Amino acid sequence: MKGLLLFGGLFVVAYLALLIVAIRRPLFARIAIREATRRPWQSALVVAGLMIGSGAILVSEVMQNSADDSLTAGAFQSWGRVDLTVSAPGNGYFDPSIAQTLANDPKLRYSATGVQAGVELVGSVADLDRGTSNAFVRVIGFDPATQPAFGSFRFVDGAETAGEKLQVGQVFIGQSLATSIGAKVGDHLRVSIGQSNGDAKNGDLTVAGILAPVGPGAYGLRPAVFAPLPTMDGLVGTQQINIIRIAAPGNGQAELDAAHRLVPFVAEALRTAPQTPPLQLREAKADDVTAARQQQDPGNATGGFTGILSLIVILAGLVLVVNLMTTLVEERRPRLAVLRALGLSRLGLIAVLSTEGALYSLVAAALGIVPGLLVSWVLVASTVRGTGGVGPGGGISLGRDLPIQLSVRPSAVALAIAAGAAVTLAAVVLAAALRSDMTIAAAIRDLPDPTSFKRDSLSSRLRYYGLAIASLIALVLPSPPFPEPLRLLGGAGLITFAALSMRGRVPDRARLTVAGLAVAAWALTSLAVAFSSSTSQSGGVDLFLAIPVMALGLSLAVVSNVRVFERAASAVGDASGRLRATLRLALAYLVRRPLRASLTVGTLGMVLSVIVIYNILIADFANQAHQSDVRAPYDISVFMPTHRAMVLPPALQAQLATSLSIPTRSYLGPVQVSSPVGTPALWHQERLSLYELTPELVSNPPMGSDMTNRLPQFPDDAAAWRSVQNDPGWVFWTRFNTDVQLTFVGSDGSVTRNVAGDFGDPILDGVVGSPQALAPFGNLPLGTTVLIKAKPGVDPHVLAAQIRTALLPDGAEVTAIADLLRQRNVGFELFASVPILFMRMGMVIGILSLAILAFRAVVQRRRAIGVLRALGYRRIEVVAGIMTEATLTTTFGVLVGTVTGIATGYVYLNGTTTSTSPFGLDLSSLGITLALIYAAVLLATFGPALAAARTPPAQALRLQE
Amino acid sequence: MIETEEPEVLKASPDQAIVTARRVRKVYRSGTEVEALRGVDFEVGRGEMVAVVGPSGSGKTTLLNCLSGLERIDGGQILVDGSDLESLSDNARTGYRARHMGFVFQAFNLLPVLTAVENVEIPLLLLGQRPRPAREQAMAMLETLGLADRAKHRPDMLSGGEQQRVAVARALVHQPAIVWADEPTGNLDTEGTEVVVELLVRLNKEGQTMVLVTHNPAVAGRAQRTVRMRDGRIEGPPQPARSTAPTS
Repeated sequence: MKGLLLFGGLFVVAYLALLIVAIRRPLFARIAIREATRRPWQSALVVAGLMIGSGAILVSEVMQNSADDSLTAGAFQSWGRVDLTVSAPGNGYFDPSIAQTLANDPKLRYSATGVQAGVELVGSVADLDRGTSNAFVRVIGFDPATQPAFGSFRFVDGAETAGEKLQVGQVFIGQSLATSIGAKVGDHLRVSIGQSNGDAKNGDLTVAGILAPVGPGAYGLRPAVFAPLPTMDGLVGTQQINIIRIAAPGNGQAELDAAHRLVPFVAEALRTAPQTPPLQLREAKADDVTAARQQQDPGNATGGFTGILSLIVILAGLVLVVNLMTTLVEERRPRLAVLRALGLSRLGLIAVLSTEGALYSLVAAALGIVPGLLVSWVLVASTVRGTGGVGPGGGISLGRDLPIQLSVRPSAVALAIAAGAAVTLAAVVLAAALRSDMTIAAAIRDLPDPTSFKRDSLSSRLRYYGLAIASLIALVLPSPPFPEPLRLLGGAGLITFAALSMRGRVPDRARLTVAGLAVAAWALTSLAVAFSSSTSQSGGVDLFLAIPVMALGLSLAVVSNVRVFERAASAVGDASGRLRATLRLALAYLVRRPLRASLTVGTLGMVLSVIVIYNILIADFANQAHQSDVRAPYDISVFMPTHRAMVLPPALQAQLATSLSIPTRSYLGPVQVSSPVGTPALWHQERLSLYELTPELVSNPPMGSDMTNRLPQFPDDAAAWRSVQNDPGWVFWTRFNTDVQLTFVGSDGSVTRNVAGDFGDPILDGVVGSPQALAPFGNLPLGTTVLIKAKPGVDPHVLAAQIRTALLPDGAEVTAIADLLRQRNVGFELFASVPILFMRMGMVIGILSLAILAFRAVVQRRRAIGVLRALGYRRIEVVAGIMTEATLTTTFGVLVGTVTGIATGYVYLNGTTTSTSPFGLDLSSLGITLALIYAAVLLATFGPALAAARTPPAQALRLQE
Repeated sequence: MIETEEPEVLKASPDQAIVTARRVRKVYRSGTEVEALRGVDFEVGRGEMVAVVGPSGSGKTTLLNCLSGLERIDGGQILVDGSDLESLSDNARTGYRARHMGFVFQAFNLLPVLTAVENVEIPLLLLGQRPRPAREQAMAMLETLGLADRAKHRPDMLSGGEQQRVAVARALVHQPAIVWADEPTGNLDTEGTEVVVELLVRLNKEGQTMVLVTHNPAVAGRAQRTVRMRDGRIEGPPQPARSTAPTS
């Protein structure tokens, strides 16, 4: 909303100012409108280029909103009508009469819509009829008598029930559990409930129905079994309960507000109730919803990184806008100069151009919504695929059904139009201001400005020294409100100032080459320093700044040296004079306008560099996975959440070479993830496996002791291991990002642990800590994770299947480690596919940029092409010349993008991980991307090139348009 | 958008030279230095019609551009109606041009997006005149030049001669103190040239000061005075301005 207010305000102010100018100076508006409508196709092309602004902003907004709304809807859905929960510390049992006391409380009876006694446990489920199991299942006990207040269960066939007809021993199961174990109605399930001592309580139950993930059927983190309390009594051996669920009236935010108002009533009722043990009251749904709204879910840990890279796409779009408007102004330079000669001031000229630009920007901003929506739809659809879809089995690691939805809010559309128009208009004004500085006499004749013109003017001096002072301040004094990453811009600004100061004293080629390379080197150095010394967030901003700055710097250096290619072309030209002439012309246009060529090359380069970075990340992940494969000393993983020991039949035991047992506790409850440490974090519901660091595990880690990520404060892996072993404040976490602090709820209240890093282990998915670190969770169900190395000659897959069958009644999850690694790779690639797709959309900007510039070049060079045709250029040579220019620009962009991507990707990986896998690229994927880029560029420029070639020389030579 | 600053010197007496250039130097730097004007002394009297002739590259157009304030000079002084153009800011010079100068270019340089009458009224609108009187004045000017029936046509619908007459109308519509014409007949055929030259001569006789650059000896012959340039210098002894403006 702040963005809408800001950009909406800017939009209103900018357009109001231009409206006032148009009213006061109708001539400006007339010229602007006539120019805009004179050649509809050309204007349409300009508008197409400018649509990128609002389109990209809308995509970014819709993606963000869709993620927010999907997570929020998921949070709402997963709690059903349950708003408040009352539970004992450590998930202990208490008397169900307390629920009745609350239900009878006069204030609650009036304010709450329902109070229900319940039991919630973690267990494992085996389908004895199908021979399948799921090791981590929520077992939810409910009271059919009070269920109507919390909504009816809905079966997958649409029928509804409150569960009152369920007989003892009959249960409902959620759709996701049914899908994972292939269960049908009537199947017999063995349910094991974990105990803190590792002795499971088992019970055989029958599936009475499969619930759709709506209403109470979506309650809790999945997969889940829903059993009436009498059935739970038989299963756990007590009539006590461990949770009271309370529903508030209303829906959505109103419901959360109503629940919040209930809190003092419930607290008061608990305080006054007789013989009540200490109980915890939580606004469970509100906590989860708030966390979802604020994207605190660790499933979204890389969202910030993707967001930063998305901004680069928007930046590339803006560079295109500046480039496009610069081209447009240059094309009209002679007639604009006439206006200046007739008495139009420079400010007036900027106003004329800005008025025209404002028209384009407004139309483009509005039309940009259409492609923006299309791209958003594609991206959200990809996200659905990437996260496993909305159906049963989908929803990735969030542990809940995630109703992914395309959220197009009116405010997002308004923001996209306002911000797109305002930002595009700003780029237009900038381009107009830059290009309006002309020598009128030269411009009227369409001759280049004399070099003596600009240097000495007062305004130029003011600009130069302003740039120097601002850069110096950014470099030396980066303190709030100026963020530290501004140092990067400060250094780049000073280099630019130095390069400008040397104009006329040093040959242009050397000056621009040195300046470009210096800017690129400075950007890379700043990034390296940022990652080595600051938090991930700050490093992220540096990455956002470093990529475009480095890409533009390299572009300038490359474009300044196009003459090297010209020499090569000359060598080729010795064999063919015509070829030489064709190439020379293409190169000449690039050489003549290094700044503009740099912008085009830079646009391509910065987007491609992001694709390269993702490519590096995927390659790194694949390398890590490969290393894991190679070094993995185990073949099979067995997870038994409710049994402290694995007991195998002797025949199977004989096939084991070695095995390692890791005590594992299953945590299901509120978690805070604070990253970087100290950042306020919100509670959200999550399930985690807590692995105890035994001496055997320390001496023989399943994937070796090399870590993939480590906090920079640990000088080496051994130091991190020592801290985790000896200091209960430190743990490893396999979802480690950087600088993370975890807070859970233990038996005596909140427990906070700092994450030292992770060791890239796909087998141990959770938190690894010393017995002291995990001591507060001693009340949780104790299970075990057993890692098995098969004897030589034993097929791990066959052995895994046999163990699965043997341990089926215990609900064990048995997986061949090779399959586990493969699943992880597929998951990562699916996850990475969304940002990669977004970057490929960004690449369209680069290609569009080339196509539009090719169109404009054809218009601008109409007369020059006429002259060439008159001089003997054949049509094919005109086509070849224009397409060669585009191909060269693309090649330079590819060069710049690849170098920028590899360099920044290397620094990023080095700065954020301690990966030991060799640095590499996925060359086949990158090759395909580059081939597509070249094909698209050639396709996009062929049309304008052909149009230019077909123009009759006499027509092209006409002096008057 | 027009600078309102009005230099005091504009109130100089009408019998002074309206344009005075002293030792004007202009150097172009693009790799090598080219001295386009090498200390030119030049005067134009009020109401005078001066033709500047000379071979290509002699500096005619550069002189005209410098005198009219379209380009800055590297040395010397240019006084227009007593006002030192170099001392004015870009905006002030722009305003000065808008009020006191008119331009006719070889390539006509009409704005292709505007009709003839809209092109003609540009200087009036830039001076802040209200649209209706500006339109009436522009129409009147076109009528004077015999183009009333072409007023609503865009440049691409006009012949070369007509386009240049529209350009002349645009140069004159705001009654400037001086009109600068750079090869005004350069793109015209014989008939068109005759029409435009007759028009310029007629206007000069009515008191309009004019400086025109031309290659065409016939056109130059119609001016009251001809200045010949070669290699950035004016040939022959300095010529004093001949003011022909009626004194009040």
